[in-house]
Amino acid sequence: MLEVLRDKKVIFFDIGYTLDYPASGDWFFVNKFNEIAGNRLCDISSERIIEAGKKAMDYLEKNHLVKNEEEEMAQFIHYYSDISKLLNLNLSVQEIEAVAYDKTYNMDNYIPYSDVKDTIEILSKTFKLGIISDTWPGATRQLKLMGIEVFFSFLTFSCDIGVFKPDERMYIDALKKMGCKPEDAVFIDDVVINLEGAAKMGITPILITRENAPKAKAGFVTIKTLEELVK
Amino acid sequence: MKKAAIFDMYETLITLWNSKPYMGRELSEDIGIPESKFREIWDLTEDERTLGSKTLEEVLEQVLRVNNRYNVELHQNLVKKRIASKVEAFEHMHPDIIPMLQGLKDKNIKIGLITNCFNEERDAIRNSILFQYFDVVCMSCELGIKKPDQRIFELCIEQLEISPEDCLYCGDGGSKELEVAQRMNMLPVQALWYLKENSRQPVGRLSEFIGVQNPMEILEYF
Repeated sequence: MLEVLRDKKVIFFDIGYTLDYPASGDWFFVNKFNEIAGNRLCDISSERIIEAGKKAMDYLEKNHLVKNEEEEMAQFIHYYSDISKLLNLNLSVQEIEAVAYDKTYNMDNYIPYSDVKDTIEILSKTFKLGIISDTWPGATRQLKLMGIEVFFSFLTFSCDIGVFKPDERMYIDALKKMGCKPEDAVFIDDVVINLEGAAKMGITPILITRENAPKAKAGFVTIKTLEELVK
Repeated sequence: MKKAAIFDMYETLITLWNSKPYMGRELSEDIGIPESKFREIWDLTEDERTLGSKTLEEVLEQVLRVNNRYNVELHQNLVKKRIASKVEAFEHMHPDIIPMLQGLKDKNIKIGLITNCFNEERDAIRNSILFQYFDVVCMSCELGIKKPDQRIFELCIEQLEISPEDCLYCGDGGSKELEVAQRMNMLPVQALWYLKENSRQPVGRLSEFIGVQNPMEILEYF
C-alpha cells in the first residue's frame, strides 16, 4: 500500500481523468455533437471554437445548482444552443435536444480506466471512500455503471453546492458528510489547484497523472494509476 | 519507415489554452462595444483573415470605424495586445515538443508545417523557437489556400520533395486534416497531448485514426 495512506481513514476521489475519461476526448463536445456538427466545425478556426466553448460555459458556471438529470439536460440544451449560435452552426432544435440528451444520459460518453473497479473494491475494505467532483447529477449514473457506486459512503458534487473546486465549500461538505478530520483523509485528483485547495484544508493531496507527464514541481505525492495505491 | 513528418500548428505543436486569451471578448471590451457588435465584422471576416485577403490591422480598423471608435492609439494598442497573445502561446508548449522535433532532425527527417492561420499568427510562428525546425512551411494566409483544401498538402509534399506515402501527418484533427492526409496516402496520426490537458478542441478523439498521447511517440515512426 502507498505509504501516504498508512495512517489515513478516508480517501476522496475526483471523477474526471481520475476514475474515467471522455470517449470523444472532450467532456462537452461528445461524440453525438461531433457526429451532428463535425462537418460544420470544419471551416471554423480553433480560436473561435475555443472562445465559443468558454462563453457557453459561462451560463453553466453561473447556474450550477442542478437538482436532477432533467434540469441537467435543460442546462445542456442551453449550452448547445449557445454553441450553435456562437459558431453559426444552425443546429435545429431537434439536433440540440438530441445532443443534450446524449450528453446527459448516454454513459458511453464516459470510459472508466481499467484499474478503477478492482482498486476501489480493494480500498473499500480498509478505507471509507468519498467523491469530490465538479460534475452534474448524471455522475451518479456513471459511478453505478462503473460498478463502484456501492463502495462510496458519500458523494460531494459541485452541482449540489453550486460551486466548483477549489472552493473550500466542496471540501467542507465532503469532510462534514464523512464526519472525519482533514488529517485523516487523502484526496486524489488530476488537477493541481484542486489538490492545493484540499491541502489548505489539511487534507493530504495525491496527484494522479494518468496519461500526462508527471508534474514534478507540484510537490505532491504523485501516482500514474490507481493501482499504485494498493501495490 | 517514413522520411518526413508534417505537423499542424495550433492544438498540435502549441495550444491557445495555456496562455491568457486575447480574442473576441477581450478585443470588444477594450474597444468598448458589445461583443455581438464586434463579432458582426470579426467572425464575418474570419475566412478572409485565414486566407490572407484581410489582415488583423485592416479588420480592427474596420471595426473601429464602423463603431465610431477609431483612433490611432487604440488601434495600435489592440494590434499590439493581439500579437502579444499569439507570441505568448509559444511560451507554454508541451515540454516534449522541442525534444521531439530535435529528435526528428537528429534522424535527418524532413519536417513540414501546414497551418490555417491569420497574419498575426504567421508572424508569431516565423519569429518563434519552432520555426528553425521546419524545412517547409505552408501557411494559409500566405498561400491563399486553407485546410482541408488538398492543394495546401500537395504544395507541402512537393516542396519537401517526397511522396505522400513516405510522410507522417500529425494534427489535432481540426479542419478534416487527418481525413485529407489519409486520402493522400500519408500516415495520419492524431495529436492527443493537448486534448487531455485542455477542453474544447475543434474535434474530439477521432477513433478511426492512430492517437498519440505524447509528442515523443512520434519518433517511433522513424
